[in-house]
Amino acid sequence: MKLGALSLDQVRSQLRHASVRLRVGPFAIAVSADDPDFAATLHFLYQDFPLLKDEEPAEFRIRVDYPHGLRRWWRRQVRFFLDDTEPFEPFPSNLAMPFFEWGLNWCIYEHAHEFLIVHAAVVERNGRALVLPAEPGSGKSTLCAALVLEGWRLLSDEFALIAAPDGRVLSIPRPIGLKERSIGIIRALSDTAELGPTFVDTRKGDVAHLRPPGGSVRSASESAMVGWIVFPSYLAGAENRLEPLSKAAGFAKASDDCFNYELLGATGFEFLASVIDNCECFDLTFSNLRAAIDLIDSITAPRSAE
Amino acid sequence: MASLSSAPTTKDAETYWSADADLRRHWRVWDDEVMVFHPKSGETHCLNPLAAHVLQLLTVRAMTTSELVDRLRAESMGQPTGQEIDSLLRQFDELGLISPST
Amino acid sequence: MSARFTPDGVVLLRLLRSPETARELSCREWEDVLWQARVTRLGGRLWHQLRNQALPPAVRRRLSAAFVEGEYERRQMLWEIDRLQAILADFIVLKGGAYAAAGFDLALGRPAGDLDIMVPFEWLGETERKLLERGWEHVIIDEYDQRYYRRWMHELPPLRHRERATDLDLHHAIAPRSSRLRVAMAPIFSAAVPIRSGVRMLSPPDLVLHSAVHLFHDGEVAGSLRDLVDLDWLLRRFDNHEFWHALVPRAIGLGLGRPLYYGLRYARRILATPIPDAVLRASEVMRPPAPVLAFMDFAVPHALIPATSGITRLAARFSWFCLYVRSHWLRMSTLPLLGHLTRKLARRWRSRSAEA
Repeated sequence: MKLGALSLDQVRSQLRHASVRLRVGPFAIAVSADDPDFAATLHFLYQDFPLLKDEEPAEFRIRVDYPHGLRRWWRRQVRFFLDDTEPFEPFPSNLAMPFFEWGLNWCIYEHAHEFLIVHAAVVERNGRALVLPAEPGSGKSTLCAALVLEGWRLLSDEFALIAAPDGRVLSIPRPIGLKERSIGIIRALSDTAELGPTFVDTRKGDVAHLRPPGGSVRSASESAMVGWIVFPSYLAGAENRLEPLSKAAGFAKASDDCFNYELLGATGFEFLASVIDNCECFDLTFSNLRAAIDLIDSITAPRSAE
Repeated sequence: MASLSSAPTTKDAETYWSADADLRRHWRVWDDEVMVFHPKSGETHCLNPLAAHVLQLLTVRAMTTSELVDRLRAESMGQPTGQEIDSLLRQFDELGLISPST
Repeated sequence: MSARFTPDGVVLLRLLRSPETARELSCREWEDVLWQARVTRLGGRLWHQLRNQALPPAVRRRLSAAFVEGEYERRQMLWEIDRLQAILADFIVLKGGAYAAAGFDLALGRPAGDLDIMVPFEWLGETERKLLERGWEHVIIDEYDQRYYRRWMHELPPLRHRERATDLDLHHAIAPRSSRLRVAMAPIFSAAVPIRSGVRMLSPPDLVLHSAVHLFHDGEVAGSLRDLVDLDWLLRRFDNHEFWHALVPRAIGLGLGRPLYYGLRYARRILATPIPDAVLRASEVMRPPAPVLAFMDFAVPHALIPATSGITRLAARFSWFCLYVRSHWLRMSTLPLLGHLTRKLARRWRSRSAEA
């Protein structure tokens, strides 16, 4: 059964009095929260996600809560908890959903060492995955959102999870976080884009989330073979260019973009090497989104020989 | 400078170096770049083919600089000088990949 | 958890004591186990004990991941010891480093913490010099802290490796010089056993005593359930006549009777460590006065065990604070306590609020 099958009232009630228990990619999550607005946004963005079975333990028990005392009302704040661990300073209360997303990311990259975790967006077409490792300001999320709107299946906008030495990545489709200008770009690109509310953050800029397409969520259990790793770099005014990288260079760059390459030791080496064995690596510089997509099409279009 | 003549070299003055056998377990050869993982240190190294070959030889048995120079020559892997091999071995030693063999 | 401590009331302890009870756990209990394991950093140990049992998938994932983390730290620890062998002629490796170097399965999946090594007091200067020559540098630059460490603690200020960014604590004794515990180190050094060329570890009774001292007289006690797990493992591992016969006399001879008493008592109560009756009887001579024991009986479990409710959390904070004060009192019996403690606490609260 999916979250969307529950009414908004039921979701609100469960979040407040017990927890909403979801399968998100390979992870079993339990969420509780006070805020009715948060409930509504969660209900919208995660509607296609399956609920956990009864008696199935969650591995991350998350709470998004208002503090006691003054900050409950004045310059309202919201806090993120994993059990009773509070990894971050509180956020302004209107940013509960981005905070939740951010916090869930933290839970994954801090703990999920059964995987080699690359900080990257991953999309898939015709059975092969395209991995877009992220640097801040790289434009990865915008590129990812645009590719998804072009019909690529979303595996993740944040993590490439590699689970075995067979070169495959696992899927964990979640709402794609878009910042500032990207929100406008994506809206302009497609009027079918299902965007959640825009959260105004005076410190970091506005953020909105693109709901992951139902198809992507339904196919969450399907892993994909990596065909290409493209390191994107958005640079205003730059020439749009795609440059091939040697496998060794691709390996070195990708290992830098992993959260836990060193932690995994020999396993990390083998997992990443098996991905590199089977894929091609590129550097992508772009100033224009359309041009970037065209360049990506040029290397990923199915060849007649395949 | 290592002697390339066939006159017997003073081997007792030279150090025998050997590499951790564990180094043979995790390699990739991609075109002319070699990635190797060193299990004990957890470090990953990128080597050129010559360096990789030297390391591989040393995982099999301990060798001196002169022996390496001779061997590489015999295998047509270029003509590195003793100095170049010494410098390579020193780097390997710094990284903990090889150690003097008793 | 009520004020009266029962180990079965804490599901992590139940599992550590009897791994086979895993098959009886409810969904909620498993979630609590994962939380408690995360907070105490015992996930890796638990994985090792439970790995052959049928576990819920989420539990398998989290515990195996914790094992991976612990294994990384174990490998790094072994590498650091390897690198030290090239620099130092002879040293004793302590605690986690010793367990790893000796190949104890206690070390599997166990987060290692800092590397602690020990050399005789006379070798300190020379050892420090050799380390500084080979890429190690001082971490603490604050003059006050440097002085504090050198004069009153049993450690030189910690060292950090320039390139590898690993931490090293160089000791010359197992208890603070300024504390009430006056431990003669010569017998400890002479009893140390070799593990590999140039590397030694403490003899079995001394390993146990050091573990007990570390838990009960050596700095903050809060969060040391892992140390109690170590102690329990060692006591089970060295379960032989020679060891048990030597343990209490050794403790008394070194002036470490009280820490051993507490070590045996709380390992038994919390982790059900089997200890021969004769040893328990012999240890009674080291028993503290009744009011002290009553306080410890209340405070130690609360300080060691993760709280599961708001009420117990308060109790834990309170007893942690008491134990912290107590530890410092023992350490700095001849120094004005208040100035340093206030300064240290002020820094702790400040750094906690700065944590993001």
